[in-house]
Amino acid sequence: MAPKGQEQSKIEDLINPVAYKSNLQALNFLRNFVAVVAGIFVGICGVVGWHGFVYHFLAQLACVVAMFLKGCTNPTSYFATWNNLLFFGVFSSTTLLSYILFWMIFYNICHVF
Amino acid sequence: GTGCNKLRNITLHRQKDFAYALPAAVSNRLIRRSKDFVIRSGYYKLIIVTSIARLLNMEGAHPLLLDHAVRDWVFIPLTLAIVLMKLLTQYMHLLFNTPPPTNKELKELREMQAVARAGRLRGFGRFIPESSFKMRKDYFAGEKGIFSHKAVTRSPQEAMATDPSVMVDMMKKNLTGMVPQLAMGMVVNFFFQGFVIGKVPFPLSPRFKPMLQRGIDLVSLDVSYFTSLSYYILLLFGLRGAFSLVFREDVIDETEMMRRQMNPMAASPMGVDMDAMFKSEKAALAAVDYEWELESAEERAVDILRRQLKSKKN
Repeated sequence: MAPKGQEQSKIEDLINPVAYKSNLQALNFLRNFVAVVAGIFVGICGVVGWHGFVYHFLAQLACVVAMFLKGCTNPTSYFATWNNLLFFGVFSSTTLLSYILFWMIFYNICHVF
Repeated sequence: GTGCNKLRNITLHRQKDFAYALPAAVSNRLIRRSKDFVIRSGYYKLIIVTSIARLLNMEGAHPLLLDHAVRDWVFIPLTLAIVLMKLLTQYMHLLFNTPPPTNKELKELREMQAVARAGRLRGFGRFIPESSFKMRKDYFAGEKGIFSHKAVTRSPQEAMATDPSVMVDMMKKNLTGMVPQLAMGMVVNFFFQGFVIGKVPFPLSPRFKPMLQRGIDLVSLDVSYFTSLSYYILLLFGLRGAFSLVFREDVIDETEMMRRQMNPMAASPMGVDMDAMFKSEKAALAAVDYEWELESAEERAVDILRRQLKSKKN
């Protein structure tokens, strides 16, 4: 993960666009991956009902923890704001739909079969 | 052959368990008694009672037991087929996606770059001294400036008429995008029609019924069960996420194309009406508020030093 570049003052931030974009791409990749894996896990366990979505959001929060472990000690120097790290891809339709899809596939294969 | 027979022979067992019968009995009695309520008390009580009855009925819904043959012969092959088809379209798109032929002349290129440079001048003008800024502004927007000449670039309509390569490009994009998906949808609808394929893990309201159960008209069938056509569409949307893991670049091509089709001001690679762009750039350049960064640099430096000294003191 590349650091964002120097911040000269609080008023104007010079953001290195290449680094910022690559950081966001890494976060996006992690979020998609965790959505798929969580969907498979939840489907195999056979969770039924709306509270299955809670696991999805738990997994997305675990991404933030994973980012901290990866070395992102100061989020403002790697992502623009704290909110960006927390909420970037969480409500995007690709992660949610892939979670639902894999949950459905594995639930069907294991429990409705 | 025997495969066809197995597909048609789906048994539906209703489990007459007491746990499922009880809420159904209670809810039926509630529905019958609710009609008495209408005569005695108000309409709102009927709504409350029937909604509770419906809730109980949903939880005590009889689960369908689907045949193993459906799994073997429909669910897994359909998933595999759609995954392979998506892979194929992705690769076709990568192979056939040559960049549009640059058959522009020097003048057209010059105009496009002039527009880009003017935009950059507006954005970052504060880094150059005032006289240079004025010189550049005059070069672009002045009396004899670039933007005062008539644009040489053809508008996209003329370009489409004269250049056949644009049509070929658009046809290629359409072919590798929507057409295989539509064709596959028709194939799926033809072969796997009229039966239920699986269950969605969470309960849904009855409004989702026409969406999830296209060809089936059973009123009492639980909304959580879906047919193969709706499963196909779910697969199309859900595999986007999984594919973006494998292909790191932009995978969502059909959503981009749909968005582009819905947006009438499509950004085509040709010069989109250069005259209008010239006019807008000229007006924007005249309206820019110029201030040299270096003028306020001393104050900002003092500010920063002051803050640092303050933080050092504490």
